[in-house]
Amino acid sequence: MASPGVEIPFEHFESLEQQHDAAHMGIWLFLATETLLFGAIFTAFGLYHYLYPGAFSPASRSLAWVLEAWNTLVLLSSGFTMALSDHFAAELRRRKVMLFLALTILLGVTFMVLKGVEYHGDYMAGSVPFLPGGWDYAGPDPSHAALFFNFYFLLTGLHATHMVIGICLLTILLVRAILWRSPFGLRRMLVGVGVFWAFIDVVWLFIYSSLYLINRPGG
Amino acid sequence: MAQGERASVRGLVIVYLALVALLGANLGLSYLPLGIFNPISNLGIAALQAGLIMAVFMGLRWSSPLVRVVAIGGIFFLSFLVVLLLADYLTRGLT
Repeated sequence: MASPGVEIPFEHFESLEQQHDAAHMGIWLFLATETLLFGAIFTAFGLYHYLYPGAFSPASRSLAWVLEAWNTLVLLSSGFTMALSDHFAAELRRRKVMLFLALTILLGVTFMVLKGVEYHGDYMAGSVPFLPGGWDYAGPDPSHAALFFNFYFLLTGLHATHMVIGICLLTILLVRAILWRSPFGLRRMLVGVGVFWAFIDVVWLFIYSSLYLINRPGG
Repeated sequence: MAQGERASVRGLVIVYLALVALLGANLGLSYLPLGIFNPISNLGIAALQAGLIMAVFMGLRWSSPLVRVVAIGGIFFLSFLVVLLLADYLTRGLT
């Protein structure tokens, strides 16, 4: 394989460091809007939890928290493999970049499959208020419990949408790593996607803590 | 993040193990009846995990101060939303 040569900055940047900082700041600016999006939903969820604890707490305890504990482990592992692929991309080590990108995609798909299993269980348990025939909740205060499940599907669904987008971006990165036509371009894209993927991890940690664990004192 | 500055593989492994240990601690603490400290510990541990991910996996540890300011900007503006909303709802019974 031909040597990739030396990376030079685009003409509108004074140095590689400035170019790298600009890219990094751009992705963080985007993530600030994402923080406001998820944060507003979390805030509304917290408020309604405060207003209707008698409905929200039992509804929360009915969620598949053990399955999602495994899913959290899967997602943390995918964040780790993504960080490793970023690390090796900086060293232009193609095989390791491909390996860890493929592992990240595999873990991301595993997360989505387990999420599908959980959604199927929710439907079978009658915990899907917005689907015909999907709502048959036996717990206390069903009307406000429906509000909890709407928040649950909104937050986990929005998160899953980000996961799908992330997996698509990772697949593009993997193809670029296999072709290895522009290692420096790949590295630039990988930094942005890596930060995005880690952000998805962060959002999930708050979803898991606030929806699944917070109402479980004493098990 | 300056070009070339990043976590070592050993550093990434340590952070990953810390994240898994914190997940275990979060699950374990959920079993204990701690009252008001249950949500505090759950969300506190999630915040600690988020901090580790942001610092190392997302590279803020090696970022320029400007990038760090942008990174916490979203949280800063979100805090306005939370504080003003709570200032409304938590004080409605005081009149």
